[in-house]
Amino acid sequence: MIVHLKLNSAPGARYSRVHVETALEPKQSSGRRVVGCFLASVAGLALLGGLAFAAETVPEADPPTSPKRDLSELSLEELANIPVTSVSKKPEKLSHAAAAVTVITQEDLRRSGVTTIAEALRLAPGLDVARVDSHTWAVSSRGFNDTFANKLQVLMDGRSVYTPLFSGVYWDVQDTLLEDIDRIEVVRGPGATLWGANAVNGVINIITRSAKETPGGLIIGGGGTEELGFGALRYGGQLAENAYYRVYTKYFSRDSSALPNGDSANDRWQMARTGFRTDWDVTAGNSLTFQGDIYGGDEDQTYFFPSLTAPGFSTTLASEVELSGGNLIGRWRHEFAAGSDSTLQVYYDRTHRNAKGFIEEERDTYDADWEHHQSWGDRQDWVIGAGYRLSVDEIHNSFPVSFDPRRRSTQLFSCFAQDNIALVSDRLQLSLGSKFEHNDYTGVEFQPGARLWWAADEHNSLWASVARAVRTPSRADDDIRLNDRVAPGAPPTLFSVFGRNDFQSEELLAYEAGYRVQPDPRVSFDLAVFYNDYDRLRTVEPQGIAADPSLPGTPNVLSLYLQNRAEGETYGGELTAHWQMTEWWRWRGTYTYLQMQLHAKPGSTDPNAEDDEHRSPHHQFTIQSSMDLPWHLQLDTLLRYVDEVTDVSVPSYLSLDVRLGWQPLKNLEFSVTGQNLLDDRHPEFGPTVVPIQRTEVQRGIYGKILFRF
Amino acid sequence: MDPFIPSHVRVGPCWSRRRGLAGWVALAVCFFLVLIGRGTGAPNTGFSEQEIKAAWLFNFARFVEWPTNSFATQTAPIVVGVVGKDPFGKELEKALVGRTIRGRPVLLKRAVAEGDLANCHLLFISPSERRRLRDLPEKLRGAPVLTVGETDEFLDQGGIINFVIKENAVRFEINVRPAQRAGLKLDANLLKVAVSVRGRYE
Repeated sequence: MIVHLKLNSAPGARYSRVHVETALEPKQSSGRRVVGCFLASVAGLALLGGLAFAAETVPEADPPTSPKRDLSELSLEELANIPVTSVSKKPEKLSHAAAAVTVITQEDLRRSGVTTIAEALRLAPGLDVARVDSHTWAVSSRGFNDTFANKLQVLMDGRSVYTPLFSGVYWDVQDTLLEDIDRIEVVRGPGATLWGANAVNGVINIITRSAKETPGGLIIGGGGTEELGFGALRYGGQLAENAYYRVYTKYFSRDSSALPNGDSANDRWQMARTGFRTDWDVTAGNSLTFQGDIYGGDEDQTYFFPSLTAPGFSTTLASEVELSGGNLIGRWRHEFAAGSDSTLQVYYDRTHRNAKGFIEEERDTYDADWEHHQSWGDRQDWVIGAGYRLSVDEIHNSFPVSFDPRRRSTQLFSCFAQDNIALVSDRLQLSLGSKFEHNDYTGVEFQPGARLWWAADEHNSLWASVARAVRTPSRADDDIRLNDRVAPGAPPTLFSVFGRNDFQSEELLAYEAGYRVQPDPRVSFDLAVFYNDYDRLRTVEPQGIAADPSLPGTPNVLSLYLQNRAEGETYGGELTAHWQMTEWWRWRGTYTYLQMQLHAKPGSTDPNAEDDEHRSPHHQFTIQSSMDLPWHLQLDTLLRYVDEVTDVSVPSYLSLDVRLGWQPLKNLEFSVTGQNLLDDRHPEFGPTVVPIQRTEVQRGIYGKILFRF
Repeated sequence: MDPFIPSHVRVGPCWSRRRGLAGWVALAVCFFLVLIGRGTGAPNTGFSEQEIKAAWLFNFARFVEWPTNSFATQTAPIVVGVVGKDPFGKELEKALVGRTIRGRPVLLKRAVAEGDLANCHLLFISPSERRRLRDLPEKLRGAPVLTVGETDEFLDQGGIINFVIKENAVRFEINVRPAQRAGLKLDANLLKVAVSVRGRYE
């Protein structure tokens, strides 16, 4: 008998290096969206009307309760397709991960009504997600938030997406069809032992579904007040036996956010994107994945740049940012035997970003990674790997910001090994490992970690870890010149920040612990606490002042050098609670606490060395309710509190998102989502390093239709 | 958008923002009350997860062939055992008791004693016992016992069939190698409906 082997690998198993267990997700055809603000005004009534109608006609899909068919008479195929009506929502299993992990599932994404990956991250505790303007976000984990936050590792299907330019993430270009995302794993705390440099305060791992799981067609359309309009099309099918594909394309246009006085901030944003994925189980034990995307778009942004001309010594630049890029990933997984498999992945990624009048960056990244997993005896499980990355860039300079050299190639070599040892099987687990990296700026970096996990019983588990991580220098730390501001005078004084090639890696020693408990199958709590000890944090040190005749008007230039003269401690914790109140009503709450104590070290004269303390909220909480209502309705609400962020003058705020979804047919879904409903507008962040316009997030309502065929 | 029109002034929507919101809230509240008034959530029709799983166990017994030496006589029963907390309630009786497969009656045994495990033909290992019994499939290695479980790691531990919920339906994955070691013949039709099949017949 010939059985064609289908690899039993979850999509993205390769890059999911943290062992995460999630509750089963009752999959339903996801969807929503209705057209325009027409619906925004009529939807409520229409829905009510529709419901009254549906109430009488609905049980089309549901067989009458009384004469049940005898299951034993069904064929295997029929039995395999019988829907489970009362899914006993599996009690969420306690994760075995010795780390602070949150998984955002496809179901979470769908039901929250979020429209971008950055916004989706608000569902995870410990992260601070602040919308700076229509298309810019400041996202960080456990402090140090900024538009240019630089201590986070972000991967999409194994492709690193933070830019080596400043070690941060351009969230506006990180996207895919959200319906294709299987899950987003959010790890707070250092993950450098496996993920390497930049996985200092957290790792975000975005994993899309295998093409095998997305057959058929999908059409999405909708729009509203802030989400002006969006549409997407996806089609998936089978190329051959065991070979599947999907292609998608999407477009959206977003309205400008508001200025503090309520006027338009002129920062509208639109993007188009198209991509594909193929998954092929070539032979028993060999599977191949190819995937890629290309995108293009533009957005408006207003800057206030310093200028050397009197009287204002400042110019306002209403700029357009052109965005384009693409990537191609190939992945080969080979299973040698049970418990022994290897994955080889190569990718190419191109980004082109032209903020006219400010900075233009072109970057090509070539990356190869190999990873091998090997069980060794009954108790040990090894993961080893090696990688190489070449990043080639070209920067087009401007007066406000310039790079020297303008073109640069940087290489990164890495290898890692980790051993998971079951000291007592399923009870006590130790994992030890380290990553070794060689980068062009600081040479070899060594990032070890040790983690211990203990299950006291089936319902209680504890974990603790110690790890070292580094944030290696970015291109900016080495090569930038940022003309920050001009002090008026005759001649004026220009403040110029210079990157320095003696800039060192920022260093973290992190101590973490966690406790997970499930007192009842319906209730679970997950607590994580941390104490982070940082050294060699970045400072901006005034160096000296000198007249510069090469610039018009021979201004005095005050040089400021990027150095590593701060240190500090942060501590805090995150608590997540789940409560399945009834079969149809689920609650989730999170609380995040953070304290930061930064100190300028002796020798530092940076007056702003401790500013980061005040750029992240001390307290955040969310309360989320998910209801499965009669008549195929789902109602989801998310209430979110964020404490004040004083350094960027953001007062505390409370926001409410509500989504109502209606799925009259298995393949058709309508939804209406209201975002930031509690106020007309509020600020979430402000300008920091780059003098952009201060904007506020507005209330928005949109409708969506989703249809599968 | 026209920069001279403040962004909160909207041309188009036929409802003023402020009044619109109050209206919405009122509407939402009414709507909510109506729904709550209706009582329970999703209407409970069709089949529960446990009912369907029980039906699968019956079908596993139908579509698996045991070596003849695992039966004492021509008409000896097919023994279906449950180890650990039985999640099925009455569904298992409904699905199995009084049935015959290839002329053999089905015998249901709950709370199977450790020494008796190898005498079962089909053994459901409850997730309640996942820690204590994780070595069980390994212990049964080679014995003609079809092990069925429903935990993520079940196949890794040497189990043969593992239930999974997929697209709101009860499905399962199959591990062929331990089945082969146990001398069990899995029907091709069973393999066909499996979500995934690990290993292959050699």
